[in-house]
Amino acid sequence: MDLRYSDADEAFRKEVRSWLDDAVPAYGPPPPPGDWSARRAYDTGWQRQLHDAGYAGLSWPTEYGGRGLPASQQLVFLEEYAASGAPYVGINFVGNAHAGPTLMAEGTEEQRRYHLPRILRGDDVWCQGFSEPGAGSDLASLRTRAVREGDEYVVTGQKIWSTRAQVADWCELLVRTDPDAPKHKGITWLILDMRQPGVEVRPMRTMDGESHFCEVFLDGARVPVANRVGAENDGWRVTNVTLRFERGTAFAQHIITLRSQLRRLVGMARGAMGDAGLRRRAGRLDARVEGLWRMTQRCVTEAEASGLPSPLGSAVKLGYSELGQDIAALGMELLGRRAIGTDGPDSDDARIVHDYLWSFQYTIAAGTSQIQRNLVAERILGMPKGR
Amino acid sequence: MEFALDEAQVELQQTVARFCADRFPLDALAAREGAPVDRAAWAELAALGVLGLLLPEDDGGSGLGPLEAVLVFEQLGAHLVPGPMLWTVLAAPIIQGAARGDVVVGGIEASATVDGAAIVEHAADLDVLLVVHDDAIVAHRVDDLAPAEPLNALDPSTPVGRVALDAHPAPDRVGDGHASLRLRTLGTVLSAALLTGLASRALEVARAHALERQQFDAPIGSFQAVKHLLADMYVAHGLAQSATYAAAAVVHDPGNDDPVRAAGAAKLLAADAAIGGASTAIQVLGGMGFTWEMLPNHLLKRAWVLHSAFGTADDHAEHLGAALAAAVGG
Repeated sequence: MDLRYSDADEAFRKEVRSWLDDAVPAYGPPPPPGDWSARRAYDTGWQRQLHDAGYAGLSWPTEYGGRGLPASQQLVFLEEYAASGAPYVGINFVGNAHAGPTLMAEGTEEQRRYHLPRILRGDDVWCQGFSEPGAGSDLASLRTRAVREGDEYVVTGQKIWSTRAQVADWCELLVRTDPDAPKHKGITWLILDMRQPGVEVRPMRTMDGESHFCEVFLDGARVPVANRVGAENDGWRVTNVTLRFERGTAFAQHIITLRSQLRRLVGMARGAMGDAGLRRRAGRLDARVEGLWRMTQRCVTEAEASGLPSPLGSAVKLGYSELGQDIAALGMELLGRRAIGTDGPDSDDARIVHDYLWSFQYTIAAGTSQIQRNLVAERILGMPKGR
Repeated sequence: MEFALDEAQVELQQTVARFCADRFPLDALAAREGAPVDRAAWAELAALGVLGLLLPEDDGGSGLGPLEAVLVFEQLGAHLVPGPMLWTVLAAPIIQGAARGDVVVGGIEASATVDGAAIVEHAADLDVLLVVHDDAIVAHRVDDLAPAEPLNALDPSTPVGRVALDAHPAPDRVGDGHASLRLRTLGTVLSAALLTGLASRALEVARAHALERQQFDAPIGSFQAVKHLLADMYVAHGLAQSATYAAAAVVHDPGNDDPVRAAGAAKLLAADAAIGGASTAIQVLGGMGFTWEMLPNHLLKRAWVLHSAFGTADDHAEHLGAALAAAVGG
């Protein structure tokens, strides 16, 4: 048990900090919300800078172009990254955290050779085609159909909650290839080229007023068989490889973000912190940030030792989802009446209101908190399945 | 950065767990109700090295660090081990004979006195009573004090009495402000460890019941309403335990972290996990959970005893909030 970072970690921190100190101010501010093609250019341009400086794919093995850094240095990087105010490269998230790792684990040599460097350089943007209007928490009931025609699959159906699909090049797509098999046994994982007839993307406006997510309508879209990842009808297993990455170290970034958000709110509250009730409320939130950060360090250590994600991951997800909402709600109360009329979308107050509205996604996205509780109870505590 | 126990620490944990299960079996809890400190058991705790955990080896102690102490106290909590172990362990470096088990030490914080008297755990069994002030630790020989007035105890295995301190105006000064801060910080972390142990036991009892109890022709643990209660207990316990282990590591070697913040966060999360967890265990056990015979109510009562010392959850919340405001320039 040693919570201090090693000398090597601290040396890495210095190197990262000095690069960020120059690169972040030089890169300039992000485009206004809603302009997704400008955002794509901004995010992929930044990804390219990270790549050229050697900070892309920190967790990826070196054989796939990553840095293969120990977990402690990934945490150091995330801490410095958040402190520097560097852009959150949301557009590259699916490629970096889902599609890339899935291809590393299950892809063919050809798929890896083509896609992995393009993801790391920011050449290509990926989106996810998992959820459907009728398949949310019960993802395995998905119905988007793929029928084999020669060397191609022909895909028809509808996907939803595809993040940034309006600017994506590729989609990690789950389709049903055997409608007669039990629901987990007839699913296949495909790489869909988004730029083709038969793929129609419609952005959805969410409660924060923005359009991060899209519906994707597939009507005779074509996927070469060479773009299948894993065997036909083995997609559910491949999916679980992807979902495992979603419950890994990616949480650290959320918790660092929540810590900065809480500090920003308390800094803004100043005078109001003279109130004992408010001090206690902020203090309780701070204790939860501390507990979650320690639990994350523990998860990361366990995952690194075993090579498998720690079962504590579901607990971290539950914890930060609710903490994120509670911190955001504190912001609304601090604003009081200022919340109902703010000075333009870039003002501090508007950002707090936006964070509050956005916070409702925490307990829904990437497995609702109800599903996470089922997972904790069944997989960790050994409760019987069902009901 | 590595957040994991080493082999020796896991072994220590297991040794103490076995000792507690053998010497303080939970199915014989009734025998502990209202009982004075069992001097034979106390001597065994001393012999095992528990009472001298934090005393250097050269002074006859175990010479272990805060994390080892946390692991031991987690087990003492999970087995509802009775007696003023916490104060005796904290006192060992300053009170002769505490580590050997010859001198039973209790204590309170000066702020807990009302009209010159304090409610003291195990008052009737103590040889020495410590009072912790901001700038000093003082020790009363209990023989110098008037006999404690017995009170009606919340926790049946933690007898309490009201002790008048103003009748004895000149106790020995046994520590300065620095020692006081150190004792409080360690006391906060070790209380958190005891509470974490209670929370783990509450989860285990509720889990076992949910698997065994059949209603509507199924174990009640197959129902989501019950699963979700258990999952919330698991998360609360995980937060408390992670924060408590980390606090011990930070007390041992602060680095860039603040031991007082780490300890306060741990105590707050552990009190919530223990009181919340024991309450949920009562609910999961249903009507049986409401009975005196079952374990959850005993866990709950002990949790409130521990919550009341070394800062309540609200005390720590307020301190953390104020520290955060100060740090961001409030």
